[in-house]
Amino acid sequence: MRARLFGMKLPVAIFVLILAALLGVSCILVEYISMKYSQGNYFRLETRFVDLEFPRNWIATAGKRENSSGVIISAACMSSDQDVGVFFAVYDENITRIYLERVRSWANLRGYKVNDTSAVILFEAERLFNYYKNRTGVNDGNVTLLLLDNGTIKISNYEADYLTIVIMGLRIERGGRSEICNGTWRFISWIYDEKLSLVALYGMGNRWSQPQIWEIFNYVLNSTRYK
Amino acid sequence: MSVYEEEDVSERGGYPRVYQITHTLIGGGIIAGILFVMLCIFNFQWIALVTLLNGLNCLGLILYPEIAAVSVILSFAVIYMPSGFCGGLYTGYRIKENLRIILLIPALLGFLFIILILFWLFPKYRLLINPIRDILIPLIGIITGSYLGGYSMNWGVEAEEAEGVKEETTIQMPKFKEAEAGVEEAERLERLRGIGPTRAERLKDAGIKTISDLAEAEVEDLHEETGIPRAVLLRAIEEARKLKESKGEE
Repeated sequence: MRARLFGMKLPVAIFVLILAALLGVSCILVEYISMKYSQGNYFRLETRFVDLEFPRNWIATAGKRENSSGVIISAACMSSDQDVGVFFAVYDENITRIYLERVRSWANLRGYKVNDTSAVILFEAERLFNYYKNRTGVNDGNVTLLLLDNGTIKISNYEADYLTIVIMGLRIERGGRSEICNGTWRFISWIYDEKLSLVALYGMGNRWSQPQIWEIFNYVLNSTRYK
Repeated sequence: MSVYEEEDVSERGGYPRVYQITHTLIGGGIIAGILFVMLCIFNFQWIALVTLLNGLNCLGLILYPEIAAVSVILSFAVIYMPSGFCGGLYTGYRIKENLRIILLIPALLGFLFIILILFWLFPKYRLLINPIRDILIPLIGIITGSYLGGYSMNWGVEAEEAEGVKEETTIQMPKFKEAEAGVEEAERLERLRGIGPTRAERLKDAGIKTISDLAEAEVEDLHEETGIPRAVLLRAIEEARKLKESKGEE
């Protein structure tokens, strides 16, 4: 009854040992699951709708939204600090038709003479800007929009339109403190088989221009497969 | 409370029932309180999982269903067992007898309290309950922790009790040091049941040097001063009084 282990009372030592053993088992299990899903420095997420590869220390999610009009398949992955991320959405034929009607009327109202995919990325860019501008419920005059560049880009053999914007004066919460920074977004859109695909890449502050982030963006964009 | 009334108490476990109930309830409250803070306020279950995955550079695994098993193991290790351990420590500190049964009570009470709190705060929780993940595993963790905590508090005391019992069966040889001190063999504290050299030393530190001194002492005062269990003191004092009486008659 007086037994001691590692200089500790036996029950305390047993408690510590169980704790250490369970932590060890957790680590082994994580490594095992990681081996099952990893592909180099990326994890593979296979869902019924989309196959996505994303960096090991990023967070990812995928889902399907369905209503009477049709189906939207979406996937997203972002860094753990949420400063950099990629968002994907694929609209089925019916939703694409409804959505494009809405976007065309929006473009006509503003007098934009652009094709459907360009109208989509302009529409989404404005929607995002308005979201940040009115996020606090009060119109924030410090938030301004800058159109950086636009053009065409090739993604997974599809010819897509893209638009890069910078939203300046963004107020973000980081570690319990509020900070002002600029965020850069690139919207990419293409239509294939009457299905609209929309991709948004974003980066806060100088993360956008970091080469390693662009390596990740390119890898994620080219490895994603929709089912 | 007279010595004879106390003897009845000692036969029931050495502590008044109200005392036992109060401290097991407090022990259960400690367990429930720690669980509430960890689960409901800090969401420690999530924090532990994210910290582990971040540490292993695998944060992306968080959305895979298999990771739920890791979350359960981690919760067992860093939430349920430590909370049971803390409750057990308190109960073991307050109650030093019948630990095999006593330590189960705060664990069960603590678990019951936290389940009731969760039901009250989140009425939909009962719909999401998984019997293994949310009942069996937490309960095993809390009970394990409670026993380890309670016994770690009483580890030395238990050892002394065992030593005391052992010494009851061995022939007591007068020690040179005591003989030198002039203490008569008949007055040696070690003659009493449950009093070995360690406890005799503690009693001497408290000013009880002989059996006659012990016969005039009060259980509570000695328990406070020496930490020797009440039941042991009660039995020893009773024996000391009988020995003193028989000596007086002679």
